[in-house]
Amino acid sequence: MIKAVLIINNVGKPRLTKFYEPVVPEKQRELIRTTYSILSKRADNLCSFVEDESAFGKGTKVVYRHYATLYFVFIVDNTESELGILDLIQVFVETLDRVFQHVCELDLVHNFPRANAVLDEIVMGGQVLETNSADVVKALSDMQKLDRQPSVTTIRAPGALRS
Amino acid sequence: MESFFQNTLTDLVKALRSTSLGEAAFLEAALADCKREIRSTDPHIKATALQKVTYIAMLQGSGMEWASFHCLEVMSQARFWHKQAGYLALCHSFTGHSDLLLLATNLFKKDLASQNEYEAAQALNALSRVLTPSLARDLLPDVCRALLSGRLAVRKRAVLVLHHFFRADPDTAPHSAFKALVDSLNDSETSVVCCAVNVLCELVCSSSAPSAYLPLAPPLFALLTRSSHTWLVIKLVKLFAVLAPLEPRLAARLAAPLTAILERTPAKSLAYECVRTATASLPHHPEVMALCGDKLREFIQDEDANLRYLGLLALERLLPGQAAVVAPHHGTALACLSDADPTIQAVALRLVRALVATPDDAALVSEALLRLVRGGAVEPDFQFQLMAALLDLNSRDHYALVADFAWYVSVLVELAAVPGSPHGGAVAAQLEDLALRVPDCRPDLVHHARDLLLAPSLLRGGPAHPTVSAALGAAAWITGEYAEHVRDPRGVLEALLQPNVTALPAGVQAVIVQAILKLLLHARAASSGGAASAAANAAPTVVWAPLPSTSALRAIPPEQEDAAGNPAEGGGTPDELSGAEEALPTSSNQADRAGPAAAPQLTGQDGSSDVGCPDRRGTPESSEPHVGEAPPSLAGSLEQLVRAHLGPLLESGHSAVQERAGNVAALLYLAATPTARGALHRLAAAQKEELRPVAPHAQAMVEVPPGLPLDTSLAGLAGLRAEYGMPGPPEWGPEARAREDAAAERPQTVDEGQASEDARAARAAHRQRHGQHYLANDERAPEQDTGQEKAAGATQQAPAPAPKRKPARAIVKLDEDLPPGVVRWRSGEGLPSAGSLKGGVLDQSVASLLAGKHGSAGEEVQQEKRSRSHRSKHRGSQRGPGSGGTELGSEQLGKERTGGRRQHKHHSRRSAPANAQEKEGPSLASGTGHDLPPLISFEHLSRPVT
Repeated sequence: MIKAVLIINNVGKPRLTKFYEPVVPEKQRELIRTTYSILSKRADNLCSFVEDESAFGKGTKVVYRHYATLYFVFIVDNTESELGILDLIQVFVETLDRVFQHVCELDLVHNFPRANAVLDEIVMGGQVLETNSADVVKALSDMQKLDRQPSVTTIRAPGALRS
Repeated sequence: MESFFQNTLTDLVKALRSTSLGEAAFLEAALADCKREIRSTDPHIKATALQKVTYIAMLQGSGMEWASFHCLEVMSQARFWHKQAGYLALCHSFTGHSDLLLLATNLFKKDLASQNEYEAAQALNALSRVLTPSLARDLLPDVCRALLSGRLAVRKRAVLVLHHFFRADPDTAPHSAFKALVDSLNDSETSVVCCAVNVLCELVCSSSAPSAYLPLAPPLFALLTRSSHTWLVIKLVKLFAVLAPLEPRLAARLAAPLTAILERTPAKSLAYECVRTATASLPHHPEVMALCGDKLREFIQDEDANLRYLGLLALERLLPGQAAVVAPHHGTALACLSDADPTIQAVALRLVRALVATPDDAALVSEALLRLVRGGAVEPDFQFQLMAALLDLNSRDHYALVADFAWYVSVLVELAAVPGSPHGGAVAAQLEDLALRVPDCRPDLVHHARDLLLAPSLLRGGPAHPTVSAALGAAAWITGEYAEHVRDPRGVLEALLQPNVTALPAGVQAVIVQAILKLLLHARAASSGGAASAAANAAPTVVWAPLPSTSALRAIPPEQEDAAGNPAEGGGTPDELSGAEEALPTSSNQADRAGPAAAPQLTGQDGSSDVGCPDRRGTPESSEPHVGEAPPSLAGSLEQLVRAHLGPLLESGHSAVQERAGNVAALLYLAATPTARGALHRLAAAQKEELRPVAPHAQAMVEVPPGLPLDTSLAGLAGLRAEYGMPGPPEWGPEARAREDAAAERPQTVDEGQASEDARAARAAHRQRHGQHYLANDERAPEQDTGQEKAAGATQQAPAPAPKRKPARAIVKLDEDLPPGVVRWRSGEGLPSAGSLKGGVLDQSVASLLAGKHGSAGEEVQQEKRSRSHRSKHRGSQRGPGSGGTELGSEQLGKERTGGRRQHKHHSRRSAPANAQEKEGPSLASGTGHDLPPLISFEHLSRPVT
C-alpha cells in the first residue's frame, strides 16, 4: 500500500502532500522534514530507494525520483513493487507534463487543486487506480468540461521538469 | 458582487510569492481572512475560501479539523468544482475520528448514486480516505450498487474502496463484499481487474492466514497466463509469492509461466518480482533456481543503482535457506560495502552478515569490514554499523567463528579507539568475556589493555570518544585481575594513576582503584617470591616473580580442588585461611610441588613470606619498618609510586572511589608493617581465585546432596493452604501420585458415581470408535480435556487439597513437530486480541465464502464453525493447508471436525500420569454419549470475543 505521496522542492517546501493513512499534522510536518533531510543529502546517481526504520518504521520504504527542482516521493510498504512504484512516478510526472504542457514547479504552485486531481486519478486510498497516462488526461479534461473551473494558470519557466 | 472582491487561490499564491511580510506572517493573515470568508452564505465564496484554507494547511502542515463542517457544506453544493473542493478539503482535514461524518452519510449516498460519474468518483475517492466503521455499515449497499455501474470510472473506484470496507468493518463487510470483489476479476475492463487484483494482493499480504485465499488460485492463475498488463502481472506474481509456498501443487504449476515471463519480459520490474516469487515458492526446482541466479547476477552487476540494490535485497531474502545460490555472489556483496550509496551499503552489510557461516568466512568478512573501518572513506554512521557487525559476527555462539584470538583481541582494542564510536560498552563486554572464557588470550589481553590505558587521548574521553571509558574500565579490570601477565607494572600503574583518571565516570574510577590494589598485592606477593627466584637463578627477563601457589597457601591439595570442581567453594573464607595458616608448616611436600620459587617462604613460622631478607627469618615479630632497610624491591617502589599519587582518588567525591582508595591506603600501611605481611599474602591469595563463566544450566549439573528430600511433596503446607484458601499446587512427587491413584479407586458417592459412570461409558465408547488415536497406555486422558467435562463427570474427587493439573504442555511440543510451511495454531488464537480479530474474522468468512457456502445470516454461524474446524484440521492432521484444493465441501469439513477434536484430546493426554490405565482401565467399559461436552467447550474456547 502507498502510505503517502509527497512533492517537495529543492529547499524542502512541500508542493503537494497526500497521506493515505490518518497522520496527525505534527507527524506530517516531521515526516516531510525527515524525508527532505534524507533525500537532500543523496546525490542523483544513487538508487531511488531509502530504508530508514527509525524515520518511517519497519517494512516501509521511500521510493523517489528527483526531477529538476522537485522530489517526487512515494512512501510505500512491502506489498508494493519497488520498480513498479518508480514506473508509477514516471507515469505521474508524464501525466502532469501532458496536463500542464511541460510542467515545472510553478505549475504545481499555481494549480494546486488540479495537481491534486491528477494524483487522485492515479492513486486512490493508497492503491494504484490507473497506470495509463492517456486515460488520466482524458478524465481530467472531461471533468473540466463539467464545470468551468478557475482556468489553469500556465507559467513558463526556464527550469522545466524535463531535465 | 461580494465575490468580485474576494481573492481566489491564484491571487493568494501570487500575493504569497511577492509578499514582503515573510511567508509565515502572510499565511496567518490570509488564514484569518479565509476564516471570515468561509462563514459566507454565498457558495462560491465559501468554496473559494475552503480551497485556500486547504492550500494554506498543506503549506503550513497544520490541521484544519475546525473546517470540517464547512467541508460538508461545500461538498453538498451542486456545482462540480465546489463539490470537488469540498471533498479535497475533507480528505485533508480528516485525522481518523470525526463525528461530523455521520452527517455526511446521506450526501455520500446521493453522490454515489449520481448520474454524473465524476461526482460518484469524487465521493468514492473521499470514502477511501475517511471511511469509519459506522459509515461502512451504512454505505456498503450503495458501494455494491456502484460495483455494477456501467461507468468505468465508478466501477474501478468502487472495487478499490472495498479494501477500506474490509479494513473498517470486518464483521459485516466480508460476506457480501468479498463475493463482489471476486466477481470483479472477470470484468471486461483490464483496469477494473487490475484494481481487484490490487485489493486481493493487499488482503493476502496482510492476512494472518493467507491459506484461506488458496481457493482463488485457479482464477488468478488463469489471469496470470492470459494477461499482458505489466502492473496487473506484477501484482499477481506478488500475490502468488504468498500463496505458492502454502501449496506445493500451485508452486509446481507456477514454474512454467514464471520461467516464460522471466525469459521474455523486457520489464525489469516484472522480472524482479518473478525472481522473488520463484525463489520463494520453487526452492527445489534446480532449473528455475539457476535462471533466477543468472537474473540476480545481472541485477547486482548492473550499472543502475536501483537494480543493484534490489538484487542484493533479493539475495538477502534467500538466506539462510538458499545459501548455495547466494554463495557465488559473496565477492560482489563485499564489494558493494564500499558503494557510494548508503542504501546499497546497508543492504550489502545485512547480506554479508547473513552469509557468514564458517570461521573462514568470518575471517574474510572481518578483514574486509576492518579495512573499511580503518579506511575512513565511509560515513561515520556506516562505520559504526560496520563495527557493530564486526563485533556481532565474531561473538556469535560464544566466539565460535573466531579462529585467531590474538588477532581478535587486537581488533577489539583498535575498535575501542575509533573516534566517536558508540560501541565502547560492547567492546568492554567482549574484552571481559574473552578474558574469562579464553585463558590462552589473557597475555594478549593484558598487553593490549596496557596500550589502551597508556593512550592519553582516550583517557580524556569527551565527544571524540564518548563511550571509550567503558573499554578503559574493562582494560583496567583485566590488568588487575590477570596481573601475573603484566610485563611493565610500573608503566601500567603510572597510567592508572594519571591525573586525568579523575575525569572518568565513577564506576570506571572504582574499577581502576581496585586494579591498583590488585597490582600492588601481586607485586608484594611476587617480589618476595621474586627475590627467592632470583636467588634460584630464575630467568632475569621476568619482571614479576612467580606468585606462590594458591593451593599451597591454602593447604588444599590441587587434586582436591579439582575434584570439588568449584574452586570458589573453598576460596577465601576466613576459616579456610586460618586453616591454611595452621597447615603451612607441615605442607612442605605440597610446597615442593608448587615449585622451588615458592618453597622458601613456607618455612616462615607465621606463614609470612618475608623471604626477601633471609637474614631476618628468625625475627619475624620485629616491629621495625621493612621499607628502607631491605634493598628497594619492585613492590616497595610501586608502593611508593602509589602512595605519591593516591591523593586525588582519596579525595574523590564518589563514595565507591573514595572507599576503594581508602582500601589501597590501608594496604600501603600494612605493607609497611612487617608483622602484617602475612595478611597481605592471604589477601593476594584470595584475589587470585580465578573467575570462571558459569553456564545458565549449571545448577542441573550439581549433584543433589544425600539426604535432601527434593522428591517429597510439601504435604505440610496443605493445612496452611486450606487456611488461607489458596488453590492446590501442581502435583509432584510420589506421594501426590499415590494419593491420586487411591482417589481413583475410592468408591464414589451415589450421585457422583452415577455421573462418573456415564462419563466413563462415554469415554469407552469413544475409545472403541477411535481407538487408533489413543495412546496404548493411557485411558484417563479425556477427563483432562476441558473444565466443563470435569464439572459434568467429576470422576475423581481427590481429598483436599484437590490437586489441579497444569494446562497440557503437549500442545507446544506437537506444534513444534509440525513440518515447515504448515500453518501453526498459535496459543493466542482462542481469544484473539482486537488487532488480530479483524483479520481473523475476515479470513474465516473468506474461507467459508470460498468453500461455496456464502448465504444468509442463519448459515453464517454454521460456516464459522466449519471454517474453524478447517483450521483445526491443519493442526490435527498436519496436512499442508489447502492441500484439499478448492473443492472442500461441507461434508469433508464435517469429518475434519471430529479429527480436530480428537487431536485436542491427544494433546492433553500427555499430561496424564502414565500409570493411570492400570488403575482405571476396567471401569471404562460401557456407555455412550460422551462426544458432546468437549466439542461444545472447544468451540466455546475458540470463539472470538466480539
